[in-house]
Amino acid sequence: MMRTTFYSALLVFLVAGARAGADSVPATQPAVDPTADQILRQSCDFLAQSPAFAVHAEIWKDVILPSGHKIQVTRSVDLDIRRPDRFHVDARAHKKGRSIWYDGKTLTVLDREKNLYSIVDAPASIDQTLDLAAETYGITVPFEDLAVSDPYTSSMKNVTAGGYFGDEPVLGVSCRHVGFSTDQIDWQLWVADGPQPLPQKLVITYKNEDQTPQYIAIFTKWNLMDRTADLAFQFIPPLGSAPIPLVRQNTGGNQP
Amino acid sequence: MKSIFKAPGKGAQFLHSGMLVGRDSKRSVLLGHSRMAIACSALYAVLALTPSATLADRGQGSIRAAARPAPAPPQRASVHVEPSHAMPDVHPVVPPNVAVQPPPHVDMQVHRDWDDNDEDTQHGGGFASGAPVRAIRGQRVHNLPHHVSILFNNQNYFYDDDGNYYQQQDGDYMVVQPPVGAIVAALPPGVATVVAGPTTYYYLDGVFYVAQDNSFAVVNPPAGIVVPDLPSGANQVVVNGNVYYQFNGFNYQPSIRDGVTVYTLTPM
Repeated sequence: MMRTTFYSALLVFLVAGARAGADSVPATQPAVDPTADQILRQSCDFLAQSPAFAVHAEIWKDVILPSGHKIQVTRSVDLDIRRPDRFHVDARAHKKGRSIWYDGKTLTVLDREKNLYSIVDAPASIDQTLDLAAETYGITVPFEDLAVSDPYTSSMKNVTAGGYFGDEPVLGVSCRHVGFSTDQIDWQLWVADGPQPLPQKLVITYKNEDQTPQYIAIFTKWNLMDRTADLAFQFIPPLGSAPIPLVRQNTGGNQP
Repeated sequence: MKSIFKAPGKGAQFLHSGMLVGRDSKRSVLLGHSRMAIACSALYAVLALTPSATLADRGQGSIRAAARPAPAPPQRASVHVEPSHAMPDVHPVVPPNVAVQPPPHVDMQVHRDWDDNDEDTQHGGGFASGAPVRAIRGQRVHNLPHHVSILFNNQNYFYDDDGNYYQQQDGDYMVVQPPVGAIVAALPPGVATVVAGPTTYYYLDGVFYVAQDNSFAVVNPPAGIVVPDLPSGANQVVVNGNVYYQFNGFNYQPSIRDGVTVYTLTPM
């Protein structure tokens, strides 16, 4: 039964992807398996209705070296959200780290390695601030899809196909495995099967890029009772840090 | 004096005049025309203008990012290049019967994000090579790492496989800034490509190179150029509340662009 479900979903996924890719047939109606759509919608609605949450993510990211070799690097991200106007992100790599604070009025980016930070005025909502960061300053906030007010609409934008691939465990948590496709990426989500349908794993495949790199994240330490105080969303300059400008995207200077 | 220092790890030889010749004569015969070298340089310059990071580079686990338009290329007009200052006349003189080789492959670096692979991979480490060692100017070593020699303006310099330069002093070797006008056959591993005005620069640890004929010349940077890293040994100063780093006659002013800390150079 499980095998039948898997292959049925795979068939829908592949056929829909082929249809969407055909030049002569415009993809007006995404071919999304109803079960996949329902699983994603339940998860997104649950997130949207959560007034606050915190989550930790372990990340494995493919990197294509100039030599052509593909390697995988590891990262971690801690995300703290309080709707509608607070978030804090700590992103760490081996020798680097960046943190972002949004307190409803300002957006702060801290380069932890250099101990330098930038502060700019920010709009009144998380959604607007995420767009400001990305479109004005070229900063994609990690896992912004979890933070937006309508994760379902945001995630399904440009989706051409979707499928349900059965149930699988992720770190011991029984999950429902769904996958979606756009012209640029294929993304898969493993959603916990239970009263709290939270994402447990995310895989994004950049299918149009050389060697199709992937971005893999496993989410742990979900905390829906997050009672983080206002202070946690306010930037307090670390000892010895210094302010520097945050430069608007595509303005001035050469390309380093 | 004819002494030539051969360097198995580098595709170059230096004559005592400071002039450089190709080491691998067989490859030079196959590839070694100056036109080919110029064509290669031009190709590198074009590649360096590639406008944006890949979606995978800037994605950060975001599905929304795929729905956003790719960022436009940066404006380049704000960098003022002074040819007489930035590009000294350092054309090497190559004997007519010596085959030369084109510039070696240059690793393009068109964008960096905060979590781009660490120094181990980003700055030249990786398969078949270890992480390069960045030596601080003024540091002394008793024994030189693997190197080639350069004679420039009657001064001996030693250029190691990681792009550090040394001069002999009191029986030891001291790490120094290379002189403007010095010529090397191969760029050190991990250089960043920086396009400023009409010129493509290659930058590493406070040293700027430009491709010249069949080699690379050390040059002064133009004011306003933006680089991704500070030179090792740069000194932090705070002026009127603004932080700068000073190195070799230039202020390196930090700012955050595309989420990454970069540095804009202005003369001190």
